[in-house]
Amino acid sequence: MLDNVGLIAANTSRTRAYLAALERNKLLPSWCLLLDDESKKLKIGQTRGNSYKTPNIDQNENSWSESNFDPTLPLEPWLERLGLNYVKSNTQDIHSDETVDLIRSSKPDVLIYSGYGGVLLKKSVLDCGKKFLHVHGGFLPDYKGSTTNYYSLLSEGSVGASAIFLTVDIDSGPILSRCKFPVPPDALELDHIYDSAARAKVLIQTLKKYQEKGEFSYLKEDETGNANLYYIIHPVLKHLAILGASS
Amino acid sequence: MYSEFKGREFLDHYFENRINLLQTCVLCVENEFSTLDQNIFNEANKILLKTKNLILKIPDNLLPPSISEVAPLNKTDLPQSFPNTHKIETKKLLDGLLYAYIHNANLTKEIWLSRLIQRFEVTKKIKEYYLPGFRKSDGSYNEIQLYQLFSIILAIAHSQSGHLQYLSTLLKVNDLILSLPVNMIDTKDSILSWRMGVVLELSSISSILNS
Repeated sequence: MLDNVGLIAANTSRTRAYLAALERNKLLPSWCLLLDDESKKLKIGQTRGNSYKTPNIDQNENSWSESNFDPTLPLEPWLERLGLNYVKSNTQDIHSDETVDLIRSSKPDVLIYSGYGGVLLKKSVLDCGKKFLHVHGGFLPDYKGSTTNYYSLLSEGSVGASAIFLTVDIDSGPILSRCKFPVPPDALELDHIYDSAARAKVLIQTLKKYQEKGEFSYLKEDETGNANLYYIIHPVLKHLAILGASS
Repeated sequence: MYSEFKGREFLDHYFENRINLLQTCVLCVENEFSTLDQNIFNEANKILLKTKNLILKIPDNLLPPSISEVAPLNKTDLPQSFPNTHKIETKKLLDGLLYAYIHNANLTKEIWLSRLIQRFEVTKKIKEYYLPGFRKSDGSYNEIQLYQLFSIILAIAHSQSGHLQYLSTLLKVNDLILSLPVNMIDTKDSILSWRMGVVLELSSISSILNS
């Protein structure tokens, strides 16, 4: 268990990918905040509720070794089975006063951020004395912004993930770790399975480095190149990316 | 973000829809072109000649006409520094960007184009003016020629750089233009050669599909 590391979880595929990877790699956080309520309204990144069977993948060797998770598994029984110390916010809003208080009063200094998609953390959260470890779905700094893995699939036939500490600027925190991945076995499942699996893999890399060194280390500035900012990809380009990856 | 995947058919419908909409907008045969139109048609011809792997047949009446003598485009400078310290007239900024992209001039063109893309992606509008700092805006957002010029600039910028963000924003701008009734697209302020933004978009998509 990582004493100084917690997890902010949401009812999403990404949280399930993270939890499965953390369990598999014996890197469980010491505390977890579950951002959830009884609302039936789906938020960006929330699971569609249908299961997915990962194609046969060698779990030890393959780039997609963290794609082996069930995106439909109920979270609370899972957290209980793991014996994790967790609290439930009873709201999906990370910026609510109650949620910010829960974060502020938690013990770990570093919180893995796996909240709902499309939410940018405001100063009220960023300034509450914690570091937020986020894994961006894209190879930074080349692919900042939204839906970047579709852009990189189209332009270079790969997807990426990069671990950073969140700052007020989008995808601009110092880079802790990053990785490029080959075309996923099923590009149709990029949103819900493979983007999450790539992030989970980089999360594990980052935490293993932390466990080994006792501190988080950053890439050197000269390794971090030029930045491009991307906005939500047009559906025509998304179709081209999926068709190209599937051919 | 999570738009549904509808297979290759989605792209076939996209091509068909774009061409049908263009055909309804291009009602008359042009024969007199302004300097601006001459330059846009000429640039579009150069780009289309270089574009390979086209699987889509673009109807002849939508293609740019050949122009034997192209009058030089008046030079419009881009604002010297970013962010802007004075109110910017968007038409002048777009004129400056078009000149810079056609003549491969001015190193700040990517910065200004990125800022306009950012404003458009966030608001889905192009305003007549942008205030110092380039965040707040002023004036109308209904000036069709601003969207038409922006579309043409994005198409040229994408053909020169291959940067996919330019193509993604171009698709969104053209969605917006083509969603309007014909009498709002073809006004006295419209740019005659505006369809080149859509024709170049189609050729880029077609080329990527076949690559």
